[in-house]
Amino acid sequence: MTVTTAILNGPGVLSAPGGLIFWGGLVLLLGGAMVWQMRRLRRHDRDLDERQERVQGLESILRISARMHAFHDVDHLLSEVADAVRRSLGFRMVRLRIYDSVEKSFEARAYAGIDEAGREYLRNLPLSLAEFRQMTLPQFQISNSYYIKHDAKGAAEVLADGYIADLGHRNEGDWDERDMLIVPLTSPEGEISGYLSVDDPVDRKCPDERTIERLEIFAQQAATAISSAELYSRLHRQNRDLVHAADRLRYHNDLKNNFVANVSHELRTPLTSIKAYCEALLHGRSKMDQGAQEEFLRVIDLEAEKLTGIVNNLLDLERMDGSQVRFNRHQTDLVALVRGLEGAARSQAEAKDISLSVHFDQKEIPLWVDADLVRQLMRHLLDNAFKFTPAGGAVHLSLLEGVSSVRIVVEDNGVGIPDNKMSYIFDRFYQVDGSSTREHGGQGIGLAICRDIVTRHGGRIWGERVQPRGVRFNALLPRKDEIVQRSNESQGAFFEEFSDFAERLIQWIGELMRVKIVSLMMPDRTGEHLVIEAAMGLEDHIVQNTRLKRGEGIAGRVWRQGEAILVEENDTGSGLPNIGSAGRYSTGSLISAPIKSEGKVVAVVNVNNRLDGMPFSSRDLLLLEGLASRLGSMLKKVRDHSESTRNFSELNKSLRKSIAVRRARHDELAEVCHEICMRTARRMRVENEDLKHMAFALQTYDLGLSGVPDEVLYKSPPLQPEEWEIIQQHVHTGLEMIEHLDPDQNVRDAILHHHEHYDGSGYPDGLVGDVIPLGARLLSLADALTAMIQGRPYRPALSLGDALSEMSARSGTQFCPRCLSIFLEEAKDFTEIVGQVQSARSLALSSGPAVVETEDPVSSIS
Amino acid sequence: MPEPRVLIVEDEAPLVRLLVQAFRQEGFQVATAGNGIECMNKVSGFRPDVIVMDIMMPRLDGIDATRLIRRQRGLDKALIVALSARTDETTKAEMMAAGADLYMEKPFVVGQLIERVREHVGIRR
Repeated sequence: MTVTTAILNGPGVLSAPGGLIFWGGLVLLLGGAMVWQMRRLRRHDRDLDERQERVQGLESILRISARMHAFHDVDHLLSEVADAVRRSLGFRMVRLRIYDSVEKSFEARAYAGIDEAGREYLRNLPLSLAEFRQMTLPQFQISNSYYIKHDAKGAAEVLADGYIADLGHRNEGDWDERDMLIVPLTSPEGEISGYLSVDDPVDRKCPDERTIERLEIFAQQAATAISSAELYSRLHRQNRDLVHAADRLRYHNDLKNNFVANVSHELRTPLTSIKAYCEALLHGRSKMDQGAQEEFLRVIDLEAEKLTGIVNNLLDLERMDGSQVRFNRHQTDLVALVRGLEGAARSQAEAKDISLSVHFDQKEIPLWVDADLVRQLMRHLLDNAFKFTPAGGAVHLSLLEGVSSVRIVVEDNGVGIPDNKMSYIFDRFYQVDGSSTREHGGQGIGLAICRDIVTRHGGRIWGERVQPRGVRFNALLPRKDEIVQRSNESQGAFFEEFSDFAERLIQWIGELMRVKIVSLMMPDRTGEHLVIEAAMGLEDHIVQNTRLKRGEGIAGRVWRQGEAILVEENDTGSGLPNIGSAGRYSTGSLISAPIKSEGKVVAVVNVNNRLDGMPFSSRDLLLLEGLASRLGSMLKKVRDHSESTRNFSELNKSLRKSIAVRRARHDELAEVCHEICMRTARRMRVENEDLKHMAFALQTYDLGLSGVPDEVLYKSPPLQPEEWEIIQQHVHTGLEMIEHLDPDQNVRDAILHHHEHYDGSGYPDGLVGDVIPLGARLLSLADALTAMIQGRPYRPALSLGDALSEMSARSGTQFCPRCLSIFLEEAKDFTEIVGQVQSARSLALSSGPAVVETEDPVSSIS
Repeated sequence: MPEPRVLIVEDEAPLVRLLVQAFRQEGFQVATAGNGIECMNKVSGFRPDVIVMDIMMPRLDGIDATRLIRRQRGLDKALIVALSARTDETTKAEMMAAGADLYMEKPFVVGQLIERVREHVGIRR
């Protein structure tokens, strides 16, 4: 300030004389002071402006960071943080690394402004703690951050290996592309939880304290948000697990209590008779004649027998529990086996006045099974049927030979099982009627034993409602012979088989979803990376080289979160890195869904590129989720080797067949019918889970047709009775085929009954009216419309309008009137598109030898 | 003195046969019912002095049957002996609250049952 004054006064003092000099000097002095004052004021203003600007800047940072606290999903939050730095803090490139305390390294978790190559590079290069220490040497420190200028001492070592973006031309004193600015994230506990690394400043200047301050404030906010989001998601997960565990415990505890009460009751009942009769004999023998005494002894004997039976059941159950149980498989003729226990079963039935009939498909049905266990299985199924069938009822046992399995069916017309209890009946100690008015004894063991036996053979068991009353139990035992030996031979064969299976699965999902690209990803041996186990539509090098960490990419996020993600076409705002390289996909739209087993994600399935080039819809999401939920337990079993190879080679066969059926029947017209059906379902207030079942059923209901020979399938009516029987059988074949996918009971019901008519004239059970499950009523609409507008060899295709009026004529006879009226309304939207497809098709047919029906839909549509 | 009447409500056939025989020998007039509903159908016509009541029975259980019986006029004096394989305190308490006079756990001694019943109807040996 003094220097300024001296310079201002300088010329006056030297050049002007006397008082003038004084006054002039004074004026100048005053003028100088004023100028100085004004400058001071101006500077003050500038300070004020700057301060205001700073406050505004900070405010906006705080505003942005306030948003952060709204995210509970950690990955989403991290990419939001990176984006915010890019948008609001003046750096075009942002990397966010989070410290992994297990690995002791910093993992790249979010990015902004970095291309795929850069991301790939960063992903594969976790930064060790030692490397981090090298970057955060005191000589780089500014405030709490570290600015590593490329030419500073010690910078070369740090920067040598880093990922360097080319920023193009620069001036002296500008940010150099080799520079690095690191802003640590500090958790509320004061530990380094990660860091932000920024690059390519908008102003191209080296960072000043102001910039660093802003970054640090933001980083602090972000760190807090991240740690609370992590805490939240951990708590959320734990809470969910706990609630689940508590439910299971409660359920099992109830079962245990019931079991103790039931067993005690069951044991006491015959004991009571034994004791009472013994007492009578002891005290009254002298007054009794020979015949009476004998009769009493017989009662005692019979009751003791009952007691033995109960104890044996308990022992059986115990035996099943032990893993040391011998499992002796031999080639066994099931027909002979049934004949062997028929006598005892007949007398049991006669005693209860129940008629027993047996039926065999063949004279001999050889199967590779443990004969003792299968005998036990049949005995329990029959006991169960006898127990729940009143006098005068009928029990029917049949052995049906399927393509790949033998089905043991025990059907009764007894009291039946309510639908909502169907899924529990195989649980140990479960009893449908646990009340004190229950008519039927038992400990809830028989069916649990049945399930154990069937599972041990790699099969499945399920119950179905029979109309008007009764239950049908199906035990499906896979036909297995040579493959059993093969699995024992070597692991090589196993894996070969497995990858064959996985590829088939992929192909099948591709067919069902009508997409070009499908990939199945599973954790690798170490469990750290997700790798592509099988894929279709992807190039080999992508399949071989794709490795995703937990949380990385969409599939990695699905792996971490356990929830499916649907990326719609214009969903660019998600900031999510894609898998594979861009440009390969016709749209950005994709779905990635977890395959879970016991609540754990065991694999992730991704689909891209619908055949029609459209983005995926929520219906596709439902379908993929539905498929994925059914694949979980199966994949895990296969992976764990706990099951022999039999299961998936079974599945392999059914997949292969079903692909053929799909090729022949599923086209745009079928798609339209499915869509109408789904819309109808929604309007009928079918809820979320059940919608998934509906989507699943729509895609699979006609798979059973693959078991019907073409000459029958495409024959013009009328059909011979035996041909009719073959056709009717297809609903069962279909169920058998999807059985491997462990379908929900609703799906089974819908498929089993989709040929029932509303007036009771349909098959297989002749159900009437609303007794027909809603799913089946809806499915029958889609099925009928598909057949009409696609046409069949024995009848020409109808226009949508004609088809709909033919359907409406069958309201109340074939179709449920309520479902039909909504269905008809929804169908009207599709008149145009159906017309277009149909006319394109007739053109194709008339113009050349190409037959649309048999052409591969993949090539004909794409 | 007229023959005392006993109604045996029980779904286990062998036990019913034995009890019928035992009570007849003791000079009782005996009727039987296989469940709670049958019991209710018989009870007003038969007007038993004693009811031997099982608990776990189809259609209508012993507890509800007892409750219904106690609401009928003229039957509130009948002796109701619960006879059950249920040994838990909850069931016992519920049955007694419903109006049973005695609770005997299965297996039981037939002689004891008859002794208690005789005391009630006032027959002395």
